[in-house]
Formats: sequence, C-alpha cells, structure tokens
Amino acid sequence: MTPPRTAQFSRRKALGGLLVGAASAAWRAPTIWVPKPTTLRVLGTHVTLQEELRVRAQADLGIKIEFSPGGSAAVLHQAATRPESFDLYEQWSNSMKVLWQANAIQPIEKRRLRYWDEINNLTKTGRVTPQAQLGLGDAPYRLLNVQPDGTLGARPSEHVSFLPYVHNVDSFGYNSALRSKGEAYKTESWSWLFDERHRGRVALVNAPTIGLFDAALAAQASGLMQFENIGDMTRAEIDRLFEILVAKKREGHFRGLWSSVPQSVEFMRSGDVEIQSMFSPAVSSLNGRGIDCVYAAPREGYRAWHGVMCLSAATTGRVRDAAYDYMNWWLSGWPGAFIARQGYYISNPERSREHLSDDEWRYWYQGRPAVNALRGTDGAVCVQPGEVRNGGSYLRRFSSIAVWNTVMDTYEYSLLRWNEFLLS
Amino acid sequence: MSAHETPPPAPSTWRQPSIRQRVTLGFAVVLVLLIAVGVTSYRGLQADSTRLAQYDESATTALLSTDLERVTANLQRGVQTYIHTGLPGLVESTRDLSSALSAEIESLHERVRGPELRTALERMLRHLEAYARNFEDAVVERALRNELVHDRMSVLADEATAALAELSLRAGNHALVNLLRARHSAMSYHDRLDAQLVDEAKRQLATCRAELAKQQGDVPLDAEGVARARVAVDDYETAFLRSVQATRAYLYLVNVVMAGESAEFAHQAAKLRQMALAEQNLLHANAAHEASRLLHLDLGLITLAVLLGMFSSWAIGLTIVRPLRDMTSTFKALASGRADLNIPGLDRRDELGEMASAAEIFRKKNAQTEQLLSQSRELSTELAAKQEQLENSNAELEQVMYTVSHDLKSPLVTSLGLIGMIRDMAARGQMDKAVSQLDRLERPNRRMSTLISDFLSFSRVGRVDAEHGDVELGPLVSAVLDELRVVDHMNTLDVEVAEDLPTVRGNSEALQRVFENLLTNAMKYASTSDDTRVEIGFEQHDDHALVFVRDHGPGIPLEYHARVFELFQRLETDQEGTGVGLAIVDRVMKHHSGDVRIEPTPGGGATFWLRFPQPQLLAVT
Repeated sequence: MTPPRTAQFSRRKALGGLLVGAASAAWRAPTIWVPKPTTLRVLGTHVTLQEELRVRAQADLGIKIEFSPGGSAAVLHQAATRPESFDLYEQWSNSMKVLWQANAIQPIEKRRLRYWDEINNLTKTGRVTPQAQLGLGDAPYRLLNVQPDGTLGARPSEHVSFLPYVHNVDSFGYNSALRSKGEAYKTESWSWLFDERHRGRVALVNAPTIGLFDAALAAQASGLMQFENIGDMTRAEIDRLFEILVAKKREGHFRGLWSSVPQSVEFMRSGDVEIQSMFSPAVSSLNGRGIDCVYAAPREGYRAWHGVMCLSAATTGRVRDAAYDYMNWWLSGWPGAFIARQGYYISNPERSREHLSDDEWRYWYQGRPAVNALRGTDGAVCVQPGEVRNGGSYLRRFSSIAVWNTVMDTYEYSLLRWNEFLLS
Repeated sequence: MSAHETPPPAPSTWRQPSIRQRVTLGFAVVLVLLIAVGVTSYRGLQADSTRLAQYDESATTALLSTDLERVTANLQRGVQTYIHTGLPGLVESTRDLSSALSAEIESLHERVRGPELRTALERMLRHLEAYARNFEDAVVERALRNELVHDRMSVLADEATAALAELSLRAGNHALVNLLRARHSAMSYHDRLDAQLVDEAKRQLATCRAELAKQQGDVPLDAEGVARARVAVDDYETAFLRSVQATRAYLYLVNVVMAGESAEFAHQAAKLRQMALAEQNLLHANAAHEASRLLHLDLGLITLAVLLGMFSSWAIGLTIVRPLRDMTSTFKALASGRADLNIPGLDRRDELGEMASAAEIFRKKNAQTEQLLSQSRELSTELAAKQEQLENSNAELEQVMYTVSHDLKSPLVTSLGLIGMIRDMAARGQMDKAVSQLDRLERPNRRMSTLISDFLSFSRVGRVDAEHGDVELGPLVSAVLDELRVVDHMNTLDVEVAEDLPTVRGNSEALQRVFENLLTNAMKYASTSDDTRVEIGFEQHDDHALVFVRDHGPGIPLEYHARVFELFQRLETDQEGTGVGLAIVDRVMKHHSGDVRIEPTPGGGATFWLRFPQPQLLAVT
C-alpha cells in the first residue's frame, strides 16, 4: 500500500504562514507586531514524548513544543482534572473512557486529519485483516468515534476522540537462560506466568488496567478460571481472580510488581525475576545488556495497547490549529519510522516505509530475518543479523489480540482488590 | 667400622657450607617458620577482629532492618486506617512515621558498607519518598473528593434543583427529575464505585439539559432563570466529574501506587534483613572456616618447624656431632700415638675439615715418630744382636783362644819335650837316636799346622766368601768326592749321590768346604763300620730344600748333637780331627741363612741335614 502523496509540513511553509499573519497585523496597526511563536503543550509519557521527536517536530512545524512527560497515572489524572494544563495528551486507549467521561478532551475533526484515510483498519474496525482475531476490552475502534449522543462508539462519525498513531502488543518476557525458548503461538502461553517452576521469580506490572489482564490471561490459560468476557470482568470474576492471585502471592509465587520500565529491567537483570509482564523497551534493554529475554508470542493472544493523541477540551484557536498540525506531523512518515526502530508500530505504516531501510522494514514490519545489524533510535545495535522478531510480522501479531488494555466498569472495585493483592 | 677405619670419601666439587652457616641456616629456617606462625596468628586475629566488627555491623543492620520492617508495618497500618477512616490526625502521624523511617534508613545507609545493602537502602528510600509523595497527593485528592462529594456537590445540586424547581413550576419537572436522577446516580457512584453510574449520571444530566432546552422552546421561560439553571447543572456535573476523578485518583494512589511502593519497600526491607542475616551467616561461616584454616595452618607450620628443628638437629648430629665424635676418637687415637688410621672429614671444606687437617698433621707426626721408634727398635734389636753376636764372638774367641792355646800348647809342649829330649840326646851324643826323634817332632808340628790352617779356614768364613752365586750342588759334590778319593781308604766306601741335587744360591768355595767336612767326616766314620755306605740326597719342600749326608757308622750320641758344631769340639774317638770342620759347616750355613742339624741314621750312623731357604733355591735340576 502506497500512501497518496500529500503536502509535507516544512519549516519554510510554517514560516510563510507566520509572515502572512505578521503582514495582516501590520495593516491593522502602525506598529510592527511580531507574533510570539505558538507554543504547543504536550502531556504524555516517555514512550512518545522523546526529545528527538520534539526537536524534529519543532523544526518541521516552526512552532514551539513543550513536552511534559510523566507517569501514566499521574498524567491521566492531570489530563482528566486539569484540561487547561495541556493542549495535546498522548497516552493509551484505556485512558479514553476516563478522559471522555471527565469531559477533559474535545472531539477531533476527521476532516482536518490529513492522513486519516491511510490509517489502517485496526483502529477503524478492530481487525487489521478481515481474518484477524477481534480483541476484547477497550479495543480502540469501540472508543474512536464520537456518537451523536456524545458517547464514544464504533460507528464512524465526523469526529473522533483521538488520533490513532503508536501501538503495539505486549505479553510477558522470560529469560531464555532459565527457561528454554518456546514456539511462538504454539507453546508460549500466558499460563507460564503461573508455572510453579518460576515460584518466587514472577512479576506483574503494577497497573490494574494492564497487569490485571496479564493475571487474568494467565489464570484462564492455566485453567484456573474462565471469564465471560475478559475485557469486561464482573465483580464476581474479579473476586475469583484475586482469590487466585492472593493465594499465589501468599505461596510466594510473585517476586513483586514493577511500576516502571527500568524497574522491570532491574528485576530481570538482577536475577530476581525469570518471567514477568513486560513492555517492549525493557526487552530491548535486556537484550542490549546481553540477557536473552524472549518477548513471548502467547498462543492465547497478546494484550494490545494503542496510543491515543487527544485534544484538550480547553484548547482553541491557533494552538488547536498547531495541535492538528502536530497530529498530522505524527502520521507524516518520519515519526513512524522513528518509533518503528523502538519496536512500535504506526497506524499508517506505508508512509513511514520510505524512511526505513528495506532491512528495517523487513525486520520490524514483515517479521523476516534481519540481513544486517539494525540500530535503535539511540544508535546502538538492537537487532543482530539473522534475528527474527518474535511473533512475526505486524499483521500476524495484530491478528492475535486477546484483549486490549482496558478501564472496565469495575475499575474502581479492581483498585480495592489490587491493594489487597499488593499487601497480602 | 670405626671412624679411623672409614675410607676417605671421594673429594667433592660441591662447596660445602660451613658448620656456622649450616647451624645459622637451620636456626634461620626454624625462626622463619616461627615468625610465620606468629604472623599468621596475628593476621588471623586481625581478620577475626575485622570479622567481629563486620558481624557486629551485620547484626546491627539485621536488627535495624527488623526495626525498619516494624516501623513500615506501623506506617502501612496507619495509612490503611486513614484510608478507611480519613481521620486527619492519622495524616500527621503517618508523616512523622515516614520521616522517622526515612531518617532511620539514612542512618543505616551511613552505617553499612556493603554495596548490595546500600543499594537496597537507597531503593527503600526512593520507594519511601514516592510513598510519602503519593500519600500527600492522596490526602489532597481525598480532601478534594470529600469537599466535592460532601459539600460542593450538595450545594451545586441544591442550587440546580432550586433553579429547576422554579422553572418546573411553569415548564414541568422533566429536567428536575433527570437532575434528581443524576444526583442519585452520582451519590450511588460514590457509594458503590461503579463506573457505569458515572455514565448514567452524565446521561441523566445531558437529558436534564436537553429537557431544559426543549422546555425553553415549548414554553417561554425566563431566559435568565434558564441560564442560571443551565449553569447550575453544568457546575454540578463538573463538580461530580471532578469528584469522580478525585475518587479514582485517590483510589489509584492508595491502592496501586502507594500499595506498590509499600510492597516494594517491604520487600526491600525483608531483603535487607535477609541480606544482613545471610551476611551474618556468611561471616560466621567464614570466621569458622578461617579459624579452622588458621588452626590448621598454625599446626602445619608448628609441625613443620618441629620437624625442621628435628631435621636440623639430626642433620647437625649427622654432619657435625657425629664427625666431631669421630674426630674426638681420632684425636684420642692420635694421642695414643697411632698413625695407622684414616682421618675422617679430610675432604670437608668446613671447620671440621680444618680440624681433620690438623689431625692429619698429628697423624703424620705420629707416623714419623712410629717410624723413628721402629727404626730405633730395629737398631736396638740389631744392636742387641750385634751385642749377642759380639758376646758370642767374644765367648767363641775366648773358647778359641783357650782351645787354640790349649791345642797349640799341646804340640808345642810335645815339641818342646821332644826338642829337649833331642837336645839331651844330642848332648849325650846319641845323634842317631836324636835324629830318630825328629820324626816324632814333625807330627805335633804338623798337627799344629793343621790346626792353624783349619782355624784360618774357619775365620775366613763370611769374610772372604761373601760373593754369592748360583751353585749347582751335583757337580760340586762330585768334585769334592773326586778330591777325597785321592785318599786310599776312601775308595773302599760305597758313596751314593742323588742325581738331581738342587742348585742353590751361595758361595761355591764355602759350600765346597761344607761338603768336604761332612763327607770327610762321614767317610771317616763309615770306614770304621761294616756298612760303608755314604748317601748324599735331598728333599724338596715349598720354601726350602734339605740336602743330607748320611753314613751308617757308629753315629753320634744325642748329647753331642748340639756341641759337635762348636769350635774345637771333638768326640772321644780315635779319629783324628781338629774339631773345626763341623764348626765351619755350621758357620757357612748360617752365612747362607740356613742351618745344619744331626739326626741319627736309622740302623745306626748319623745324618747331617743342610737346610737351604727358598731364596737360595733357584731351581730343581
């Protein structure tokens, strides 16, 4: 698929716009008015709020961009309670319910999204291919479209609640030095998290909207319980799940729960943990340190997440225009290629292809062996020649989604049980 | 084998260290080992002291970490109580506990040295800081939530209700009903924490606003009143949604973030205690192991020192004391004058070697003294022999003088008597008679002449026949017999001479006189016997030869066997003789290192045996 060629953002064009504005201002007043460059405040996490991206975006767009990275919970709380403190919010689709419920973000006009048509069906229909497994929970397509009644739904409309962009699938990672490598989609299973052989060396992510699903997938894969809908658990199901988790914790099955990617790296690096919930950067970091951490491709499917870029309810005028420019810049190709080198996918992959070498495209998107050593965004080699991305191609990986990170209706209740689990 | 019998060892090229060096070396080795024992013991004690300090520190760390766990448990309990009660006093006590815990961690961090312990403490501190920070946020969110839920939402709800109630009098109560429903949903949310109720409340508020707008279209209403009601509803929704976020934030902070930090903090505290205990156990095990190792090392070194000491003692005994003892024996032997011994240790290059060299000098002196003594003894013996010989010679000379005087005197007296008779006869003119007496006078003079001649012969033995050579006895005896047969009566004798008489070393003239005397003697006596045989033969022995001359005459009585060889000794027989012949035989044989003896011949007669020692016996012919 080749994306249609559209006008590219450039510093020259942006400056041209500013000059027109300046001339207009001079006509209205005898004094020379030099407008301040627009400042765009972006709130989010370190996953997408990276300095290279900020510098590149500023250069391309001719605006000032301020990044305010923070922890997931903190930025979500800030976004939900103080929409005036940011213009754009970059986080995960599982924050959408909270933000939308809090009236913290405003609908985004699809017509102003230059590459909307290039965005693939993963976020539009929930299936990256017609045969793909439909993930449960807060699948982005269910939260994407602003419905006439002001709710979010799957039915397309002229407005969307977020710009789909960065996304990936998560699973668990395991140290292959301590557990022989499994076969992707065949032997690798979420049940390994409950495997007795790893007792005392298992960790989960300390985030109920994420870790709860890892635990639920593990319990279900182990045959300990079955969920009616794992993406929308009932209180009874949550009670049963936490009974299992607390029992296992009391048996000493868990080393603990990690709260940050560096902490998850340290868990496995130190040998405290053999298998755990993981994010892609942690796996890359461990591999870079010589620890053969395998990012599993569970036969039950992945836990997927989708990045969302939301427009603050308080943002208006030129800043909102700049926000649309920034959203369009994100899908313009280079940023997609940039984050591809970190293992993430972009919603319109073909546009970023021209910014990737054939080898990079072959490895990151097609799931084929790397011919040469590939470097990450930090310049360090992160893929060795001959290496194949576990789980295969982009289409293969996103055809096997068990559940999306989700804020369920039982979210608050799950928090109370989570506390019990942590302190049991 | 005694020391002086030990053969001298082969000289060695190795430079043997001196006794002083060896003794010094032996003591130095033992001293070094003793110093090593001291050093290892000292270092072991030092290490023990260090380990004890480490153990003490570790024990303190374990104790403090246990205390940390206790304080942590108190902190968690306080927070949980606050979560459930919201009592403001618990906030301060939690802050105090958190500060105390932080100070305790920092204090412990300054005490411990192990990097793992320090890292664990640093992590604990980070988790505690995050815990405290999030607790403050939670307090804020809880206060906000309480303010929203219990105060502001009620006020706003009342305002909106009042505004809508006023409007509903004219436009109906649909909007108000929805507001009340929304208020109920909102209250239910805070009671049941069901997110669906939030959506429900939002929908109801949206309906309320829609009804308000609808009613405004249907029935002319007070625009200001509608706006006021609308704002009141919006404000209520805003407050409600903010309370929802505050609730969620609070729940998230206390149940996820704080609980996570607390769990990790507790884990690190437990790990700290385990590490401290493990370190204690390790230190204990190391101390036990080191003590055992040190004990074994010291025992080994002491054993080695003892063994080396014993070895040194043995080596000194072997290489010094024993040689010294041998040297002492040697010196004692030397002091007793012995020189026929080997000095031990002459090849040594040490002090004992020098002592041996001195002993060797003594030994050589002894040898010289012994040689001198030997020479002196030989000279004394020789002198004694000479003296005895001289005495014998004197005695013999005396005897000879007496005998000669006597024997010469007798013919002289006879001659003088005859001369007197002749003179008397001549004086009486009895010339014929006197002349006839002259014949009688001749006989004693001839005897005196013979006597003198024999005496001369005797005296010449050993003086004029000193030259020795190989003498074949067969021809010599034949020549003697030929001379003797000139005498008539000799021809009647039956002389038997062995054909293979030996050749001897000697003087032929002297030996000839020996056989002349013996054969003359034998023939003389054989002629007086019926058995006239005279036998000359010999017997060959390993170291000498015996030649005999045997007759079967009347023989010689045994009591004369020793005397017949003395000068001028004659048997009381009728046979003429001077008594010098056998003395000559005896003297000649002695000059030939041999001898002569007499044995009776079986059946009568005498056998003279001449013994020639081996050096004189050259060959058997």
